Amino acid sequence: MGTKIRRNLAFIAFLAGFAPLISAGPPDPSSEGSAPKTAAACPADDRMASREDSALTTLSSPDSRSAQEAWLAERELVLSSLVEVRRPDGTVSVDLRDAFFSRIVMQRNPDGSISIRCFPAGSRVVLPLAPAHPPHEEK
Amino acid sequence: MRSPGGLRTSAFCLAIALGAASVPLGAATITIVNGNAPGIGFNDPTPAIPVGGNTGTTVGEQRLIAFQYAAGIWASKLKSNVEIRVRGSFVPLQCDATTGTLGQASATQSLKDFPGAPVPGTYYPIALANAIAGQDLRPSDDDISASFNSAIGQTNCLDGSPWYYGLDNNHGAAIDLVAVLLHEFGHGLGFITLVNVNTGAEFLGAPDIWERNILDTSTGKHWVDMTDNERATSSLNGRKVVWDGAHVIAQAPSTLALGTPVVAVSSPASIAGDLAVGVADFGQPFFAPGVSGGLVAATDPSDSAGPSTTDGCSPFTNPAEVAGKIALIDRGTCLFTIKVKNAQNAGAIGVLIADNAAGSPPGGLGGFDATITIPSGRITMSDGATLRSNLSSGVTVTLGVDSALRSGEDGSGHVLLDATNPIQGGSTMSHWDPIAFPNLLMEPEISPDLPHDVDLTLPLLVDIGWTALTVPEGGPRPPIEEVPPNHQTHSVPPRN
Repeated sequence: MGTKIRRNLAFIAFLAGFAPLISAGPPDPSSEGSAPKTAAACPADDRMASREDSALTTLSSPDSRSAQEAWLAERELVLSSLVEVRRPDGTVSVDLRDAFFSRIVMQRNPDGSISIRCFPAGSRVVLPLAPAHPPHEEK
Repeated sequence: MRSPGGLRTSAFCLAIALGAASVPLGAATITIVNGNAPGIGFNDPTPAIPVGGNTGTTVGEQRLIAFQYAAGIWASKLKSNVEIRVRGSFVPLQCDATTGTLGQASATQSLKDFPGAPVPGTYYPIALANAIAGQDLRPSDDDISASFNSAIGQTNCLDGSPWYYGLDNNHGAAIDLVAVLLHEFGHGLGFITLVNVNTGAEFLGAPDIWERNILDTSTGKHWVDMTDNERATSSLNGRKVVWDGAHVIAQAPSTLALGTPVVAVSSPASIAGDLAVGVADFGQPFFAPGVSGGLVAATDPSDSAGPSTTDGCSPFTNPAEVAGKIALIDRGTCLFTIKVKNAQNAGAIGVLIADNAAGSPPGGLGGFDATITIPSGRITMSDGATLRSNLSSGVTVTLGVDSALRSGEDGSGHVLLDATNPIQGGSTMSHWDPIAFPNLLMEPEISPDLPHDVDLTLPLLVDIGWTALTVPEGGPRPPIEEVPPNHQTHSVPPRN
């Protein structure tokens, strides 16, 4: 419940944050080895291994799905606000307005390890993370 | 839009003024524009002890020097006659005790049909467009926006996991800011597609330069030649979507190691073949020739540890059958380490955990338990069901390594892009497949073992139109240029 409220509040905050942006109108036009993957050869398989459960999402998590849906809705709103501006020399430019921010998120796992990975984001977009799931647990 | 002039700072000049250690030289000029107000972020006056080659004596100085150091690494690799301006800041971002945003970055603008654009009607990130055009196409704007979390390591913000501002990669358990910056700057320089990977729709109805080198090997089509529906389908096509740019192909053999973990099914003949597997953080890594044996379904009580009799969450009820064999366990309820440890205690020589949710390729098994000594991995729910349905016929598997296949390649010399089912928003198509080994800078997860290097990222940027200062190892020479000596000065030219 707390999570849901947080998410709703955050979404409202997101919308509020975009109100001035949306009403602002278009932007100013003026302006070899042969070693197989052995213990010695791949000490960092943990990065790959921890990808899903340590990666802040759990496939079966409804919260994760909700977060993804919320993000998609937010993203559509952001993208709909982007405008192409054609210059006299034929150049077309688009101010991305942080819609394509690549966000790096870190999570501390129950066993003390950490995961750091890219997530979608916009600077004004609510972080689409599921609540902190114990990433190595299965629910 | 540019930051207010009063806050604009050349990190290079400041680094010199602060007596910073060597700033890498390069033909490109990357300037950090200080987006912080006095007293915070880059201007935080909190005293700091110089660390790992970072000579800053305040937190703000150290942050700025680390920014410039990472920018300098990129500057030393790329050629551009147009200054690349990174609007940077350190501000509090979303954070709690266990999860937090470290930072975020992107190009500020996307351009098409600019003077000299190699491919008409195609979007390029602004820094690349400027480099190709040889002029600042948007002089009123910075080129990359990057903001990082100033609260990391403080109370209730990933407490105990502070930034490491050193430049020597000796970060220990702290978070290496330089590595994160290198990754984020990579996105800002153009390591990203603007395609909506959920719908396949192109950005404002036009292709981006990335799409020309995204190849789906199932259909033989590049993304630029696909319909929206085809791109959306391709986004889900794990291990079948690759980057086919010439420079990446040329450098991949000298970057990626031979050997890819695999589960080989040898019997019954009707299901014989290789299965994709996600390996575990713990226990023995997969190796060649691997561990072979009969596959046995582990059974355990339905109890408070786990309701299913196939979840492996309690000591097994059929240890005699499991001993000396490879245990098949279903994902769910308890830690992966508990499941595998129960199998090991029963005498299993290996473990396969079948996913409990549809998706591919299979994720790995997170966790840590130093007492686990057997190999284990995760397979898809679909593969798990197939194996389980054939157990009565006798299933023999090998947890091993395909020694002929480079880790991160598709077998045809192409490097795999990150494609997953379901889509991982923010990572799908805009990163390498995390199966790559050694770990690459632009994988979805930033590995703590990353060197301060740009590995396959550099040839990829060359593939989309950048000119590199040095010839990537194994790469073809054109359009790479040697650096004229008079271009090797990392300077901040006057603007306006």
